[in-house]
Amino acid sequence: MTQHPLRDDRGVGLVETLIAFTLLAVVLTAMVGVLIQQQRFYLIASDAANTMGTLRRFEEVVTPELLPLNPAAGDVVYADADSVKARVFRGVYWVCDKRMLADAEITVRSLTGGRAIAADSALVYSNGTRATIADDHWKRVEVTSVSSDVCPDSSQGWTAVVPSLNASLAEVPLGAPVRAYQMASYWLTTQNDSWYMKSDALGGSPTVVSGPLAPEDSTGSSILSLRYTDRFGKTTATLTEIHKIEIDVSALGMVPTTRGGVPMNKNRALAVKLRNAGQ
Amino acid sequence: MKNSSPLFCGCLKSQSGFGLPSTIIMIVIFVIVGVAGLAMARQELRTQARATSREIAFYAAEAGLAKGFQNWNRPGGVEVVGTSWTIDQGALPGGSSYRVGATRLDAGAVHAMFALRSQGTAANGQTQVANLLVATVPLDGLFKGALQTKDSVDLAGTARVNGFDHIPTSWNGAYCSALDDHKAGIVMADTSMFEEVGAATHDGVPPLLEDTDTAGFFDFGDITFAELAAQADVTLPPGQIVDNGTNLGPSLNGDGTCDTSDQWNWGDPLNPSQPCSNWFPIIHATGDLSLQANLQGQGLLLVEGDLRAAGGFEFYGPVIVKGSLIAEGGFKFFGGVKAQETDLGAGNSVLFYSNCVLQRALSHTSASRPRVLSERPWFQAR
Repeated sequence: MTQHPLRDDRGVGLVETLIAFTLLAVVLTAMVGVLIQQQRFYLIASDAANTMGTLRRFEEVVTPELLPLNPAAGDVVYADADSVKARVFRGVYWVCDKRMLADAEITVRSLTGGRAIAADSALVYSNGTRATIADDHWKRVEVTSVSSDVCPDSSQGWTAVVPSLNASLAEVPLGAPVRAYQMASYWLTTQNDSWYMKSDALGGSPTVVSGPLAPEDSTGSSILSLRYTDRFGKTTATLTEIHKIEIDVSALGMVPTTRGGVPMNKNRALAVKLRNAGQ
Repeated sequence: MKNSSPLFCGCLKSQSGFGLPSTIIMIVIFVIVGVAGLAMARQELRTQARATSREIAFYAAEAGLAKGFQNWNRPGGVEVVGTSWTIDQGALPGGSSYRVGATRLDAGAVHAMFALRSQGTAANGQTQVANLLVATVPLDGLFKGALQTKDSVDLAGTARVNGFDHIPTSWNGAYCSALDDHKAGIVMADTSMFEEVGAATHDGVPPLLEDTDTAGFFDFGDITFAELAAQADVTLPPGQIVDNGTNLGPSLNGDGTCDTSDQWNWGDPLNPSQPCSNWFPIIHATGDLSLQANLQGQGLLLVEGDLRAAGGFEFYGPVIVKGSLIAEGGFKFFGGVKAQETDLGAGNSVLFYSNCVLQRALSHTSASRPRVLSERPWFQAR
C-alpha cells in the first residue's frame, strides 16, 4: 500500500500559511496597482479624445458659419475677442417663378439640399435697373410666409411671400439666387463653473456649441481668442474690413493628468478666410 | 529501496498554486486594457484623418472652382434653365481630385446666370462641395452698326459698308441659318464728319446714324478694352506687319487638335469642319498694325494704334481700333468695327455687319467668361 507523504505525514503550518498570504497580498497589490494605473491611462486617453472632440465640434460648427460671410456687405454686425454676431446663411435657392398678387411672391428651389426656405430673412439677387452687371446687388427681404409648391418644370419648390419686393419684383429675374439667413451670435459664457461656447443660431434659447473650454489663465486670454484681420493681414476693428478671422481656442479636459494635478488643456488655432470677402 | 522524496513520489502534482491563474488573469487584463487603449487611439487617429481628409477635399473643391472658372465653356443647348454640364475634372497632387460643372439658372434676359458646383474628393474618398454663382455679361447690342466711329468717316473708291445682317458664305448652315435684325450702316458721333465719294456705298437700317453717346466707346459693356487686352491670346508689338511672308493660318498639334499656342494661328474661318474653326483668339496689337496679305483670321481684334489693311485680308469677328482704320487696298471684315476714325479711301474695302459672326466670336473668346456675382457668390453645400 502506498502512502502519501505530505497529506498523511505533515500538516500546513503557520509559517507556510503566512508565506502564502504574504505572496498573495503582494501579487494582489501589484495587480490592483496595475489595474488602477491602466484605468487612469484609459480615463486620461478617453478624456484626451473628448477634449479633442470638443475642439473639432467647435471647428465643425463655427467654420462653416463664418466662411460665406462678406463683412463689407454688412454680414458681420458685431465682433470682439470672444464673441461674434453675424448673418449666418441657411441655404441657397434660386427663383423658378414669381408673381405679384396681394404681395410679391417668389417660388424658389434649393441649390443646397432640399430644405424648405424659412419664413425669416433672405437676400434676393437683383439685376438692378440697368442692363449691366455693375448695378446688381443683393436685396434684403423679409419672408413673411412659406408654403410648399412646385416650379414650372414640376421640381420641388417653395413659394415665399416677400412684401419687401412689392415695388421691385421686376428687378428680380427668374433664376436669381436667394440666400436665406438669420442673425446669430456665438459667444463665450460660463455654465456650472465651466466655460462654453454658446449660440442662438438654432433659434430659441441659447445652446452649447462646444465645451468645456479651458479656464482663463492669469492674462484672461487662454480660452478663446478671435482676431480679425484685413486683406493685408493687419488686425482690424472695422467690421467691413474683416477679411480673415483667426481663432485660437483651448478645450479643457475633465480628468487630472497626474495625481493632484490639473486636467489637460488642448489648443487649436484656426484661420478662416472669408470666401465672399473678395481678394 | 523506495524513494520518499516529493520530487519522485508525485505528491506535488496534486498541489494547486495560484501563480498560473493569476498570471493569466493579469495578462487578460493587460490585453483588454491594451486593446481598449489601442482601439481608442485608432479611433482618434481615424477621426483626425477624417478631419484632415475633409480639409483636403475642401481645398480640392476650391481648386476645382478656380479650374472651372479658368476653363469655362458653355456648350450649345444650355439655354434651358436647369441644364447642367461638366466643365472640367482632374487629379491634384496627393491623390485628391476635383470635378466641376455648371447649372444654368436663368433665361438670360439681362445676363445669363450659372451656379458652378465643384466636388473635391480626397484620396480616401471623402468629398466636399463648393459653389460659385457667376453670370456672363451682356454682349448684345455692342455694335449698333457695321461701322461705328467717334470722329470722321471717309469713304472712296469702291468701299462698301453694309449694316444688313450678313452670314458669311462658308458659315451659312454650318453655324447660322437665320438672319438677325439689321443694323445701321455707319454710326457716328457727328454725322457732319461723314464724306463719301466715288463708287463707295453705305447701307443699313438706317444707312447713317448719329449717336452722340460715346461713353465707354471702346468697351464691351461691363468689360473694358483694357480688361479684354489683358486676356489676349496673341499680343503683337507696335508696328507689326502681317504680310504674305507671315506664316498666318490654322496650325495643328501632333494629335490633330488645334494648336492654340501658335501666335500666328488665328483660327480657320473658311473651313467650319476643321479643328481650328472654333478657335477665336483675342488678338491685341499694342500699337499700329498692318494687315497686308491675302489671308484670313477670326477672333477679336484689338488695336491700340492705327489699323491698315489691304491685300484682300479677311477677318471674322469684332474689330476695335483706338486709332484710325485705314484702307490701303482691298479687305473684308465680317462682324462689326469700332474705330476712332475711318478712312476707306483705297481699294475694294468691305465692312459687313454680321450678328452670327459677332455671337460666335464673342461666345468663343475669353470675353464670354463669366464674372462672379457681386458680394456673395460663394457658398458651400453641406
